[in-house]
Amino acid sequence: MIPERKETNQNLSDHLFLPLENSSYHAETIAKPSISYWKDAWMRLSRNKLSMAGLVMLILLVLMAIFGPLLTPYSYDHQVLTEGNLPPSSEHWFGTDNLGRDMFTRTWNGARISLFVGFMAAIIDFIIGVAYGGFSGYKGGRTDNFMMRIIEILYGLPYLLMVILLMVVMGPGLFTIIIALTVTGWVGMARIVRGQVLQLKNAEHVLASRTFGASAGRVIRKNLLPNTMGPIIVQMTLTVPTAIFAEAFLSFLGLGVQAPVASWGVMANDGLSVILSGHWWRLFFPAFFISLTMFAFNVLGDGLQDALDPKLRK
Amino acid sequence: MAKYVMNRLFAMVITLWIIVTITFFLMHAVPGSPFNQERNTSEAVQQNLEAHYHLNEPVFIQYAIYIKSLATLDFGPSIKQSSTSVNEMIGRGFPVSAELGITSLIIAIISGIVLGIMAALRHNGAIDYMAMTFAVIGISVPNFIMATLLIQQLAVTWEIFPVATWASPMHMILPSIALATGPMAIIARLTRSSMIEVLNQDYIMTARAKGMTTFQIVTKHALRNALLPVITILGTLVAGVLTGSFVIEKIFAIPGMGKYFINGINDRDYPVIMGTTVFYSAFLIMMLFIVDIAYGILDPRIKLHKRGE
Amino acid sequence: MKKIVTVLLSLLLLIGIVGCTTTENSSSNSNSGSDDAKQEDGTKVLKLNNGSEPTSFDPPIGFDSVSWNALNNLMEGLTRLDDADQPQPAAAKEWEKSEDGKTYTFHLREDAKWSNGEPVTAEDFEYAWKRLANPDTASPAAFLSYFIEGAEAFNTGEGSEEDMMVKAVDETTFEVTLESPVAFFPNLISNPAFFPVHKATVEENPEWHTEADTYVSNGPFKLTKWEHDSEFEFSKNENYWDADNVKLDQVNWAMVDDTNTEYQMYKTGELHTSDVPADLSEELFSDGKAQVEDQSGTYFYRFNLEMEPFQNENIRKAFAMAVDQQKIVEFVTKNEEKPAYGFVAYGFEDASGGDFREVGGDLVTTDADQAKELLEKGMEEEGYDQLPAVTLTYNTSDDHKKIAETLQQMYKEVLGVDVELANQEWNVFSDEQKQLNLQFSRSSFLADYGDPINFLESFQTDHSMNRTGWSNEEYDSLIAKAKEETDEAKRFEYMHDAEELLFEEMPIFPIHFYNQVYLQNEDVTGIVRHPVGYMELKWADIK
Repeated sequence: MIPERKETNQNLSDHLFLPLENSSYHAETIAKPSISYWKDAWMRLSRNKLSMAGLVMLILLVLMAIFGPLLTPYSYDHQVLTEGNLPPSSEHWFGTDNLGRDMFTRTWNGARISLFVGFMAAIIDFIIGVAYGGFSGYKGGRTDNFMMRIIEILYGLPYLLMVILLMVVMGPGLFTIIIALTVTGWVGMARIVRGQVLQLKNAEHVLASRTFGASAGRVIRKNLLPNTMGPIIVQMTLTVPTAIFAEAFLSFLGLGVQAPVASWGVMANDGLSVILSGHWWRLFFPAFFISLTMFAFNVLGDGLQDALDPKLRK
Repeated sequence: MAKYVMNRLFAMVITLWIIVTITFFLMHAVPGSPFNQERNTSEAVQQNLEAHYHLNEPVFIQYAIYIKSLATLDFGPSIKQSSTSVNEMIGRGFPVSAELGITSLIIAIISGIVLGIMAALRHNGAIDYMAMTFAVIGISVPNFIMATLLIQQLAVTWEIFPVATWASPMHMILPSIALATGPMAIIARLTRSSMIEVLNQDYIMTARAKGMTTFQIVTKHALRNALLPVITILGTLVAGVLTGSFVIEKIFAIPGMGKYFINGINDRDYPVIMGTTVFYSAFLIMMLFIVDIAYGILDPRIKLHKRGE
Repeated sequence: MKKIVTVLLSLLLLIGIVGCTTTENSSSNSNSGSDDAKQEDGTKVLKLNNGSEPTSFDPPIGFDSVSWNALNNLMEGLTRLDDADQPQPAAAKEWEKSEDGKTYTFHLREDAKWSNGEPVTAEDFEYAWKRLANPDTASPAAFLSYFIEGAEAFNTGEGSEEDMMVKAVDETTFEVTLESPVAFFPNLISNPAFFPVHKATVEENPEWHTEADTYVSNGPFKLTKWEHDSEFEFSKNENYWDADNVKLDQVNWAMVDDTNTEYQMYKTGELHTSDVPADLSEELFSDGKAQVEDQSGTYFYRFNLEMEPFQNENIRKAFAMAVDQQKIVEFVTKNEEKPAYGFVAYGFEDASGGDFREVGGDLVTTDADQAKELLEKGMEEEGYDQLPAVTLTYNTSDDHKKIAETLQQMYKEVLGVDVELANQEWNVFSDEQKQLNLQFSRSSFLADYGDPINFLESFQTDHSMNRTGWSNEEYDSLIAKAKEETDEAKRFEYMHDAEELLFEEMPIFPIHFYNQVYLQNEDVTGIVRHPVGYMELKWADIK
């Protein structure tokens, strides 16, 4: 900041020109412990109650996905045909489905599938996107141009067509769904990383590093990536729910995971006609947890965006 | 500018050609045939049918035939509905899908922006939280659930709207809303955050200091800048609306493009798959292009020919 | 913190609407389909759902129910099935059969007319039937003409058009010679593949069948509007010979392929009939709203005899007997289907009036203990310590999934075998099944014409519908004999023997027979649904 000179000029007085005390070097000491970028981000995030609520919800959801199915004596695929469509009770907390399977166990087993799909998609997007975008942005010039053309092609392909074709070629299954979701999904990540790298690579600290002879890999790892982590993390928190959503959408088209395993999407689709029949618990629980997950990720993503953006530091 | 447009158009043609090629070979790699029937059709009949559509030729020959007819913008005949050409199908389906898509986009953009502005003006107030909750719900509920709920509540229980089909403007309301909720939420959030940023800028302070009313400030100064990020994602949104419309079209029995596309895949109706894909891709690429141009016009800081450097 | 609570509460509220909507609804759906069906001006308009765009209204091309259900009411063949599923004179007023049962002579009605006013002639029939068999037409239904002498050769390119034995003797006399005596021939030709076409129109404009303006028909209704992929409309055909008995003025066909939506439209009176959504069947049956009609077809599973462990007969039998068909129809499909313990469906009468299925009796039984024993025996025979992995494959659909999941559970409980499930998209599935790449797969059969032989001929060696790798000379010869036999009692005996043989070796096992379950507006009467054949609206009426 440039000091407001006019005022200071007017208020000049002698006491401002007194020599420093001996202990003046104390002025250089850092009074508070140094705060790293991440610590600062965390502090700001933890002040955002809604985001923290999202984070807590997510932790709870993950814990329930891990331990939920163990809380009941039933297995997710055990049918008791004579006990189909029972409403929630002390025996079946979330009721039973049309084949007499315990909905509580199925819901949390479904959570495993849905969250797994979401996290895997995010991780794969991250790996491919960062490598591709980082390289493209760092190299620049022709390479960058060529690599961006490829992205444009992938972007132009109708996403659903690719997914359906892949599902048909590879046969349905959890693995196929993840591949199908990531085959074009990483493009968004790559674009973001590239943009960031393009901006940063001419920044002073990067130039300095280069001048000292750092290799390309080192520059990317040490100088560029840490500074692009903010947007990347935000993007990842959005990828997870998008993937969960896309999986639900595929289930609606009959392209979900292999029975008798069921994800939330498969369960919601199976339960769709209960809107007519009144077995509300069969739609409510999977739909509620999809929505809750989406909600949690979105508010967390919003909070992270604010927390990680250096411009918004107060 | 003209040179930039020419370059982009050329790149678009190349992109499209690559997409056509990938789709063509991928499609032929998928097992199954358009003439598969649960019931018994004899070998002889099968062969007659295949010969009729050149399906007995090597794939490369078929590819050459296809590219040739594509060059004249002829997508060929449908195999399943033998009397209809794919061009006719697109001619029938696209206007309907476009109607649905445009109505929902208009709903989404208007309500999204209004919500976003309201939220931004009352930053951290009750309205902000309500608007954002509404928006988050919009993103959080899968649209097939949203659509079924809307039908059951508004059409069956309250009998305000007709259940399905595409016969009159009344029929358009429910599907458009069902399709609009997702994009609306995204737009609302985006408008809100960029609006908040813009409202803190010095020139807004100046405007306030000059005694302009909030309404004037928003319409005259803030909106234009706050909408830039919205425009950037418009291309993606259009793509999203197009993709999402498959589901909505199925639930509401709307005779749009989505039906042809899904049925085309299920029936292995190769010309239909190709035709709809090429059309969609071309449309999508075009949209991205238009968005880039619009962005350049609206934001003087961006110089088009510098893009990609 | 208050904000978080507000936000969460409103989220919960919205999704809570699901609960309210559904509970509210299950208790108060009294007005279902009881709105006054008649139009205000007194015209009778029936509102039906065709599901999707008809493949084609050209008789030999649209070989599926989305085309032929509607087409059956636009056109009329020589015969039409009545409400007891028996062939009655239609475009033909009478016919004679020759001594050897191979030649039929049909006499057409003088007053049978096309919708353009021209008479329906024997030449139209000759032209249409030859067109069906013509390889250039590429009709998927062409195999139905193979009963006619020379038709198969013509269709496969080995014979010529002239050698196909159908002949217009004069304007109203039509003569057909068959390959072998076919007792059910008058029944067979009620099938839309055998509908006539107006020769002059077809020759003049090959695209005549694609639009309402150019469509010429001879049935109870004519096509007056066809908005492709959206809807089409029939009006009463004034030129129809029996127009006095056609009560409806108009039929509107929607194209809605989502069952929930269809049902919701039915509830609001936008449709007069509807399928029953899966989760609602129980409730609708107990309220007496859902109606059932037989459909001639069998839901069954195929073993692949070329893949381990199903080369072993005892293991196949074990897998067949471990299945409880009764439980599946009662708790899983819940559509009041009849459980199947034989392959040929109900509804085929023999010479003495007995039903084929009842005479044939149960050929497979549900018996957990015996299934276990047979499995052990089979494993011993093959020297297995452990059963090779079994994968059950079905084509992607919610209904098939339910049954597959139940079978999986039954095998686990009864045989202690963990069966893997796999689903494939229909087109892939059907390809793989034909190529014998599936070990154990879901199958279905719907009869093309009303005779048990149609069911049983499928399992002849190398028949295109066999798809099990099963081959039995005795079976083949029984089928061949049944096809040549003129004595009905004997013919049925051969067929019973064949079916028994099939179940002795068990390359397949049945789950249930198909039926047609539907909801229909109380004011609508007279729609006839045949077990084999297509929907009849000729006698339909609205009160």
